Amino acid sequence: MVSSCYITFPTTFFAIRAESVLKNQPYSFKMVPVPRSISSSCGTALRCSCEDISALKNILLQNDLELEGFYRLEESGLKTPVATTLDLDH
Amino acid sequence: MRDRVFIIIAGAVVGLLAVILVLQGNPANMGFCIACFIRDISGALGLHRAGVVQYLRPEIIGLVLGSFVTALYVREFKATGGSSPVLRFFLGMLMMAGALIFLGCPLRMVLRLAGGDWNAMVALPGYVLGVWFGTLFLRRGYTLGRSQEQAPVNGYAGPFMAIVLLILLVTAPAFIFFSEEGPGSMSAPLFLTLGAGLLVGILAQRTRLCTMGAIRDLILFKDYHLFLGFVAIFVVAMIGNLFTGQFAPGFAEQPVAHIDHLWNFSGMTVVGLAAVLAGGCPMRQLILTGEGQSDALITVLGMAGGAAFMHNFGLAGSPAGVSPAGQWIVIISLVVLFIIGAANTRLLAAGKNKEKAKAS
Repeated sequence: MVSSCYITFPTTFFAIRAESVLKNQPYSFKMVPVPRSISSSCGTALRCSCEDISALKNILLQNDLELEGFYRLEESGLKTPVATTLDLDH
Repeated sequence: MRDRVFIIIAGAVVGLLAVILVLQGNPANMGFCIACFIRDISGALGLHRAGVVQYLRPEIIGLVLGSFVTALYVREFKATGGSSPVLRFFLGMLMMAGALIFLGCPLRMVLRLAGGDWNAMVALPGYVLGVWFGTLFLRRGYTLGRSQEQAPVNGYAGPFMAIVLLILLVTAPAFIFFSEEGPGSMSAPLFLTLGAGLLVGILAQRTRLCTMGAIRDLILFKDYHLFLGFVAIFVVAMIGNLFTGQFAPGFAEQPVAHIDHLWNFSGMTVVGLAAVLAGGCPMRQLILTGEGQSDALITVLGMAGGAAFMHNFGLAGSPAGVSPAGQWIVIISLVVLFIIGAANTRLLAAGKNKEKAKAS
């Protein structure tokens, strides 16, 4: 079982901004297509470790970015991934 | 992992079905061609009178209905819209204009390549360039604005139109045009074409298969998820063509193709840029239509209008090549796309505001 967390954005613009804002921060993350189990729309999401998601959220909000949602995704091989919405007081 | 396996399977099924459809009667290297098929539907409805490309293509009907039924079943059907509809109509028109210069949508470009039509090899870098231009706008904040939730009837409009087309196809009333010769007269049997459309509609809805997203995500984020689907279509179609003797490598005398390299290249640049600005390739627009997005339906209607425009004014490419007027359309399309891109880009607008603030 692998679990990772995701931040989604209202438009691709904010996803790209997020990438540049976080580039020099000491957190590891990757920009990926929004996982299918989170949404059927084809936006871009930020994948990070679940320990870092609150810190990343704060940095992004301080930089005036618009964020859409926060999710935890449990993946295990070929089974359907389970997505849960995180409440980070956004 | 699971998503990756699914996108590869979806791509492989599209490639395989494309080969089967051609074997069973579709025009060569045209197992699936969203632009060509929408153009045929446009002709069947009498919106243009190019006698050789008129047919109510069941593949298109199947794609919309397959996506619709799946989206309903998994509760992802949601009526949304209202994000710059007029501009989306134009983007659909321009996407079709570029595709009819090259003679194929991005999906057919991959299928032509898999059939040995090397003209598609010229078009592919053009398409990538178009998508790259699009990512320049995305990086600077291009957006057509958020779509809003709408009354459900807006979302049902697309699937309803698909059902009406299906009824017209089956009943074949006298006012519908069906080609008696040329590509429009060639089609695999109805159960196969409709079934293939439905199956791909289901798979594409589940996986978000998109020939534009494949290139865009590679350029923007070095993410190759959607690209795997793109490659799977090519590999399976090519193997299928090799096994069934349909692989005929070369530039000259390819089916429904011409050898005007510059216009093959730039036609697909138009399609790539228009697809990024519209948020999806022609196939993806049909899938989103099935999911209830009226913005996508507007884009599809723009494509149908674009096909009529291209054929009524003799602008579309043909095996003889691209007419001077068609060449102008490519240039005009690129200019219009850059204007639409720049006009909807936040940073450019923000820069202007700053200048204004400084001036005052």
